[in-house]
Amino acid sequence: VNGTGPSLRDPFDDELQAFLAREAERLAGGAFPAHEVAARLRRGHRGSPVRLIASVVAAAIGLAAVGLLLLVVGPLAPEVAAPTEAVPSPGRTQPPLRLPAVGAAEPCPVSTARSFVEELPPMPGDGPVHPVWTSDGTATYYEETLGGDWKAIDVIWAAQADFDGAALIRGQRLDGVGELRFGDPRDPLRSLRLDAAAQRESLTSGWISIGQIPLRLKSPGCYGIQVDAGSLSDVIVFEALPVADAQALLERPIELPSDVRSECPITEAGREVPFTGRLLGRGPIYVAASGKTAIGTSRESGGFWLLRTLWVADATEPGPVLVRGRRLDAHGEVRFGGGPTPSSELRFAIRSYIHTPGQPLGWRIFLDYLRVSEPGCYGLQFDTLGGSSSIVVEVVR
Amino acid sequence: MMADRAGPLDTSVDSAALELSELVASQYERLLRLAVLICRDRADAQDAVQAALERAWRSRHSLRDPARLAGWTNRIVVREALRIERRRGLLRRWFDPPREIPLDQPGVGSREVDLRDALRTLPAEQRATLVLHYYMGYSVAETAEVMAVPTETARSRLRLARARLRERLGERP
Repeated sequence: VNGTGPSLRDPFDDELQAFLAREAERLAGGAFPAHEVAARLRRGHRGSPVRLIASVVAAAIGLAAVGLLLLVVGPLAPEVAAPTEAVPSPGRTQPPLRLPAVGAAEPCPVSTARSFVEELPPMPGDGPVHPVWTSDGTATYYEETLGGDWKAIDVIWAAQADFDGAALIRGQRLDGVGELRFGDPRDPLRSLRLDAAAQRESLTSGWISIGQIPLRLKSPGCYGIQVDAGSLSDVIVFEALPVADAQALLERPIELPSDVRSECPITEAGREVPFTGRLLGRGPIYVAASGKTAIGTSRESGGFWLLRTLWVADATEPGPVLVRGRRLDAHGEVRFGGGPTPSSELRFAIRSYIHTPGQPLGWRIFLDYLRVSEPGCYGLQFDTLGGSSSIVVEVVR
Repeated sequence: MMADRAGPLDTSVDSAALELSELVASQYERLLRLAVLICRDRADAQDAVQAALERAWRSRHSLRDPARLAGWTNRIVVREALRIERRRGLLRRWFDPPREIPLDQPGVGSREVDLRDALRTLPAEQRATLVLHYYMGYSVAETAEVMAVPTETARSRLRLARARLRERLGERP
């Protein structure tokens, strides 16, 4: 099949063609280079029988060598993450793990998180390396991933800017049998070595990231990680729960004012930020708007008016957010989302550990759609791990 | 020489590795751009292209005409991208997160951003059809062949996709 050009042309066709060309360049930018993909394929490629036999022989020789090495010098040193490649460093000694044991029925002695800097959420540990992750102070939430049993807790490994050493990070489940690993779910590392001299990225004034590498685990429980950096050794204990547990906590009754007969009690915009202006709401999720919103000129085929909405989230309070709403002055529905199947609720996963270039540090900006059945007075309820709040907006023609 | 001809299995590790590298080098950039427009996600597109290249490499001897290599790999990558999109679709039934945007993109309210949003809302098959026709430059019949659907189905998907995009842009479809 070879291309011969679009068959029907009008100015919109030309616009589409040019737009898709720009989009392809924009979206493909920063992808793995071709030679790296070829190398990955070569590593994963099952070749001819001759190659297979050669691989088996090589693997047998390798295993024998590793066994001999273990007898002579003891356990293998940690894998080095750069960030996805693990390079064994035989012969290097490592500090012993000194993680506490926790009985199956005992409460998990979760490490207290402290606020070190305004733009980052509270972080557990004494340093010099701290994990930045989604936690409500008692539980740290993991997410299911596509393919494989390893769940993910995404982490920015943060340190103060003057840290220029290396950190060895290991961990395990404390209240039962369970591994804690790092990085690629297809072959997660048993230990993680991060070198601030080799990889560092500014997070905010005085703080750097020395890697964004997720924790991998298979089941909920009480876990510990030990961070060894130079002469310092820090132990961080956390309770891992599925993020679905956190989302279930948010499904509280909707408590919006009802039967609004007179003037719509619109919420006055409060907090003002330099990047989007005034915000509606109490946080950590806000709507960038005034209390009165004008709908567009065309109604969707599904019967809803579409309102393009900027949602602004305070990333220093990470965690899931549930948004629901309804009309207050008459019967009327609110839907969310720009896709073909709008939902009656909107869920955000506010992660502090992701930073989108171009976004203000400590904030996350989302674009989504609010759909209302008719102009009128509408209420939105925001449920977060910290509690519930609401706003009232008036939608006018 | 690319390993796209029928022939005996190459038993030389070095020459097989070289041919694999040639296959990737000659196809990767184009396939990545095609996949990323369908998946709308760089990581998913990379997965789709890697899976497609692996599939192409394994079945390279089934391709009799080297001149058809590009079309053949296009077809495989579209299939892989749609497979990933379908899996994502299952996940989105439970949780379809709002899209995060950088504020430095050209005008949050600009037509470019509206078009981007509108493209994202298309069903994956319509998006793939649109991409093959407008980005790859395939005719409706060629698009139908790549998508393995009747020509009328491809034409209908194109019509629906265009209409939906225009509706989202506030224009008369």
